[in-house]
Amino acid sequence: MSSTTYVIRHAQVLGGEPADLVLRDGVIAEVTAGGAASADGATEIDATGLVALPGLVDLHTHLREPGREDAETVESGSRAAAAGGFTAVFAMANTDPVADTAGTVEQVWRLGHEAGLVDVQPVGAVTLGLGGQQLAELGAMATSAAQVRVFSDDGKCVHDAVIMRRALEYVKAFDGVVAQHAQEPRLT
Amino acid sequence: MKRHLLSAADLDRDDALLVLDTAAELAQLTDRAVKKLPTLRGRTVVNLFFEDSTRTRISFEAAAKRLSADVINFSAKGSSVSKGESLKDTALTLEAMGADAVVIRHHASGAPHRLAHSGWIQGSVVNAGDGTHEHPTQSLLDAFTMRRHLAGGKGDLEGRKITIVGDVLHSRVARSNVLLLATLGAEVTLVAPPTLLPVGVETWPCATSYDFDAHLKDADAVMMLRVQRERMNAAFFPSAREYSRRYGLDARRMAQMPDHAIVMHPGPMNRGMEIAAEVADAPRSVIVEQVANGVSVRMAVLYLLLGGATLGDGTEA
Ligand SMILES: [Zn+2]
Repeated sequence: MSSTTYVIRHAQVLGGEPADLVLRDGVIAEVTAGGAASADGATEIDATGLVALPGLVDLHTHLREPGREDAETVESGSRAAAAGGFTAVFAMANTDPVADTAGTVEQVWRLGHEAGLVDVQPVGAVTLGLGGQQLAELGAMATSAAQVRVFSDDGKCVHDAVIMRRALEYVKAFDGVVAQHAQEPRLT
Repeated sequence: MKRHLLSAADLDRDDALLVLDTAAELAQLTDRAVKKLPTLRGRTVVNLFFEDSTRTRISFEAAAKRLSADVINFSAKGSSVSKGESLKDTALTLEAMGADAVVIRHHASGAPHRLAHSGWIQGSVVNAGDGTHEHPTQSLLDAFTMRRHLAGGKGDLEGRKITIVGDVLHSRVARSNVLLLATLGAEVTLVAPPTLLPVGVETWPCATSYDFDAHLKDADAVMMLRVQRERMNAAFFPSAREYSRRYGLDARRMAQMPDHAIVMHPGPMNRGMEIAAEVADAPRSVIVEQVANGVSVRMAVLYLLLGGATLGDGTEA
């Protein structure tokens, strides 16, 4: 696929004037005025009336696998994402089992890799079982094949201030990020 | 030297070398079956321990006795201290008993400083570990051990690379070691999870890192700090398994150290946690030797603070 050349004709890059995009070896090799690019052996795609954007990233998705494959799978979620222009999705950790171990995040990552449509980046749970009591093995998830860098308990919220502080400090060791659903459970 | 030893920072390079050289001399003397020197005959050393530490107390006791001092062990357990007697009242009691030196171990950081500078006692104060603050004689015995193995037992530790790994946040050993080793010219790197490095560590005379594997190949010595499992409950790290995997010294990591590099630990060890049993018992492990050197170094400290020779003007800086 990467050795193929594509010419996308008359696309409005970021909503601007129509232009031709020449894609070679998987990267944008050239941008010309609409209709000006040479088609020499390339696959042509007519994008008249369409807008070209960079691949979108969704930092907050629920792909439900493992555990709720009846609702969604990594494969079906990947397909929906790709259809909507997303090239990377972050899959939240509230699966069954919870994505709080290297094993589970690697499973989700591998399913995404096998689907092959978008980058599926598992989000690791901050606390064991999203329970808010004890840190999950964040380092093990970070060094796993999934290379997890975003951690969140999502809707469960990390509501213990000490646990949150420790998590924020701890992930510095591998340039991690903690994403917080900012809700105080005792008030809501 | 100053009158007290409260912090490793109380020792400038000359003081530190004087202690190490004196310790080497004393070690030689006591090796030669002269188990006891008359140097401190008639002087009284009090071991004032508000916190259990049999190892440190025994080491100071052996040091004082080998110099023929009279030793009084004053343990807070079962004493009036546990009934609420203040540090001041205890100090006044010791002063009345004629203590020439008070070796103090206290759970509160700064207690030795208070004891030394409140005018309660005349004698010298030696900090045997205060809270999470300092443990200067431990750093001296560590430097002594390093010098033996890495510098032919002489001079300073200029350019030697020392990796100190573990719970720096709660470690008085790490703090004193960083100060003393910097004074002796060594380059120290502290390795720990970010949760176990103290706020402000960037102002210490050392480097820090979260990546143990990056600081093995060029290390002359790797010192492992004790990590208490209870820290896990306070969320400093997720699990014992993850701690050992990221920050434990196992055979795989030890194999990456240079051939001449030594493994150290102030004890007591958590085998299987911060250090694998096979590493603790490896030929390059000098952990048992550290204990023996502790007595020599503490003899030197007591000798220099009390014995007289080359004590300087005895004033406080
Ligand atoms: Zn959500």
